[in-house]
Amino acid sequence: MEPQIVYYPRPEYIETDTGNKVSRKSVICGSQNIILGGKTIIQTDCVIRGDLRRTGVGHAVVVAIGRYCLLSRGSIIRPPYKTYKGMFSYYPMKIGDHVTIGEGSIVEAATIGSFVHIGKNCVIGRFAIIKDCCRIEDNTVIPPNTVVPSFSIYEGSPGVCVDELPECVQDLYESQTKDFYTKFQPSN
Amino acid sequence: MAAATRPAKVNSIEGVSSSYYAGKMGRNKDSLTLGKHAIVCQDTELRGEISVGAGTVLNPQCKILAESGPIRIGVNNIIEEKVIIVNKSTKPLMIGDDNVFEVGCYIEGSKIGNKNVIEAKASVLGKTSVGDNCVIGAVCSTRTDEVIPDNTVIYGNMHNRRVQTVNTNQANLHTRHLEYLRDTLPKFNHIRGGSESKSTRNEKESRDRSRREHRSHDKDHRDKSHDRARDKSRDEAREVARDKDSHDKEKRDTRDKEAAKKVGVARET
Repeated sequence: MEPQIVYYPRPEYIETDTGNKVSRKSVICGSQNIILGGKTIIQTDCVIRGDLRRTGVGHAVVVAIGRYCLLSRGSIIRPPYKTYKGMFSYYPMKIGDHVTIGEGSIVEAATIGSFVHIGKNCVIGRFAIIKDCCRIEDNTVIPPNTVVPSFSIYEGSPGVCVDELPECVQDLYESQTKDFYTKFQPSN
Repeated sequence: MAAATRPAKVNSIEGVSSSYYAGKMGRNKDSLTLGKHAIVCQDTELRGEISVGAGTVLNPQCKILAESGPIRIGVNNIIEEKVIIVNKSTKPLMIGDDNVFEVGCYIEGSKIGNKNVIEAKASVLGKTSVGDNCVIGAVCSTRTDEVIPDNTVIYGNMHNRRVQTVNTNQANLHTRHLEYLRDTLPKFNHIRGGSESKSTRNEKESRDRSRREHRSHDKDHRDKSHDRARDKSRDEAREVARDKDSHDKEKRDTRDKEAAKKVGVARET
């Protein structure tokens, strides 16, 4: 199944030197605290909260996103928060390479590994850890502090492991995300 | 034109759909009353008669639409991104104190009590009224017309219900979260409001500057070799961020220009 070429109006997206494509209609707060690995697509109406940084001194990276990631329309990335030893703080979030986040999903995870597919309208709870090579089906709710092991498929509310993925998913997701990036082109 | 009747202190309508609402909202004018220390980001959509209690924090991208009746928000609430609070009845929608409305939840309802947590993508529908200390779990919804008693928790796939005992941790977390947001949001976002908030921002900036100077002073005393190694990795990180930042600035400029254009158009009409 070959994905079709997706055209977007050229003025809608900004392309950076490293090949990131960021929609002008997305809301990116505290952009100095956000790192994009390159060739990552951030679509319209996404919200990334880089302003919710860790309390304390020094330079803080709030959201680090790897290469060839896709944040679909209306997805929200916000770092998780908790009180630790009586101190309230937001904690940094890390997203690996070749990660797809579906439309309208809300991610408050601590870490998301590489080669992860998150479906549409999912809610990933605070401090959830999603390991490499996972699939989260559409409309799944991953409760806070959950650890999703590698090669698992999660579904439902609260999300439970329903199946396992074969070892080839790494290559599969890698080619899928690269394919999507190359086929995400400006019209005209 | 509604813009003319609006008091000067209140911000005018902005955003894409302003023209859509302009006709609809013509009859009841927008008014926004802010309590002390309330933080309302510029990037929000507020329509109709709204009052926001002291210390309440509205994150960017939330929508509060008093379509027919007014919406009264109490003290120390947190309202996160893409939250939609609508009042479709003519009676005022009363929201109590210390509530958390998490990302993307949808509130209609007739009354929300105190200390509730409405989790991500949850919804309170129709004329439902919510008591105190309730939790509406992620993606759960209420029925369209019911009274939810105190301490109810709605959770899971089937929107099951149970009763919870009072959680003291939650209150502690909430106050600290509020403190954090009140401190941080004005540094990164444009905040609505009168002269008071502006002066506090200036104070904060000067405080920051002094802190930064202090920090750089401290740094000299630290071990240099350790510093160098860390600086290198930091520089790499910064390079990526800067690359992104410059584009973002460009983006912001164009957005500002668009907004300015829109305001201009509104004034002309």
